[in-house]
Amino acid sequence: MNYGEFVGDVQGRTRLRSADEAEAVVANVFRAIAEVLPHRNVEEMGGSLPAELMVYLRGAHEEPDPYFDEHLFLGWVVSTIDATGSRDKTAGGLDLYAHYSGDEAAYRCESVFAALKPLIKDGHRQLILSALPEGIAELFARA
Amino acid sequence: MVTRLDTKIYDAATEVTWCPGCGDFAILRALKLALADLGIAPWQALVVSGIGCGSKLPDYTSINGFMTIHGRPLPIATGARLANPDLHVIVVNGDGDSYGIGGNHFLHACRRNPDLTHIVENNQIYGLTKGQYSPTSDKGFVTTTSPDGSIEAALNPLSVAIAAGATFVARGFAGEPKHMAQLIVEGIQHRGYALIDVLQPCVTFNRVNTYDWYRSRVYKLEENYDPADRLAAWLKAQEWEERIPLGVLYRSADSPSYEDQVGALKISSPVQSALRLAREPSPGQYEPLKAEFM
Repeated sequence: MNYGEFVGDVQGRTRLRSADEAEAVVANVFRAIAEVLPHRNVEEMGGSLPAELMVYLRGAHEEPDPYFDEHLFLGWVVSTIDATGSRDKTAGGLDLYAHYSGDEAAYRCESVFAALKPLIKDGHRQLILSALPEGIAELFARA
Repeated sequence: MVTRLDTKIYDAATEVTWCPGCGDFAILRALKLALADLGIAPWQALVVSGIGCGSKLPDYTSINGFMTIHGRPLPIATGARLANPDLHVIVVNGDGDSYGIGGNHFLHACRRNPDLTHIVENNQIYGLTKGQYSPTSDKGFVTTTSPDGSIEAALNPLSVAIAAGATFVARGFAGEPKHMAQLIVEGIQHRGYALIDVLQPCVTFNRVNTYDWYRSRVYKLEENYDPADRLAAWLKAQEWEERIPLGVLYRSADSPSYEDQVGALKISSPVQSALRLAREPSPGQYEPLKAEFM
């Protein structure tokens, strides 16, 4: 599977309107993975993944921050959900957009994981699973 | 990070209402880690905040908390320190509350040097009111109140702090909680005013300064960097657009704190005096007071 096909797969799963939006989701999920996956584990996946995805993963740190948690991971993905210029959705003090953005971000993460898992070996799946923060690992396991 | 206390002692049952993915979660976590690392119990500290998303933080911990009016946490925190210098007082508020509405207090806290740790949740936008440009928004930033892009130059809080006489000036990034926790530890240990400006993405209303935007720019100060060099700190504080330094930019260990120079505190603090009166009540202790007014 090449990069374009991977983005297309994610676009289909997330039902996003454009390939650009799907590409932004892919980029942010992979960059978030790079925040938690130790750099030494990245190159092993080079043979399985499109080169474009490896560019994101190569941003991984030697020693990832041990306190990078579910909230931080989702933060990378929530910012792909477009709100700028939209109408004010405040209802009785509850911002509905913000309220549901976590669910949407989790869904987008899960969609990228579902597209990623068939491409990599079981050992690599385990490496990613063990590196992900608790709540995100559940999404990966379920995808 | 092996901490002296379990961070769970700072947890509160209150439901957190920050947006999913908000950088404030990391700041809350880093604060708990820092206090646990220093072995400071919830009742030994006070967290003072203002108004804004980040200022909801005291509600989400078991630490003593005081949510003040907009922009006023620094004078109230200074008062709390003067009343009870045994308390570790930490101010947590956003860039609007700190540098906009509370800008005057910010300047005077820098020059007075009260023993406070000031953590600024700098997301470069007013988030609670749903996205207006703030004092730290970059020029050209498009928001509901700057539809053609902000025409104002952004405030550089670190430069202002150094110029105004702050004795500890640091910058953290919400995407690196461990590094931020270490900065907070150093800020609390510093005797005097410690500013820790934390770059904290607002994932809902700021679509420019995202985690990715900061990640591609931030770097940690070099090991040979000398934070005692005020001129070097000034130059570091100018870096912004392409590369943004993280760490302790400036630290002066020699300056006395505001409390050190208040003569009355050398005898006793108001809280210590009140406690002494409460613990040792005797009619005789009021005689000098009565004599004064008779």
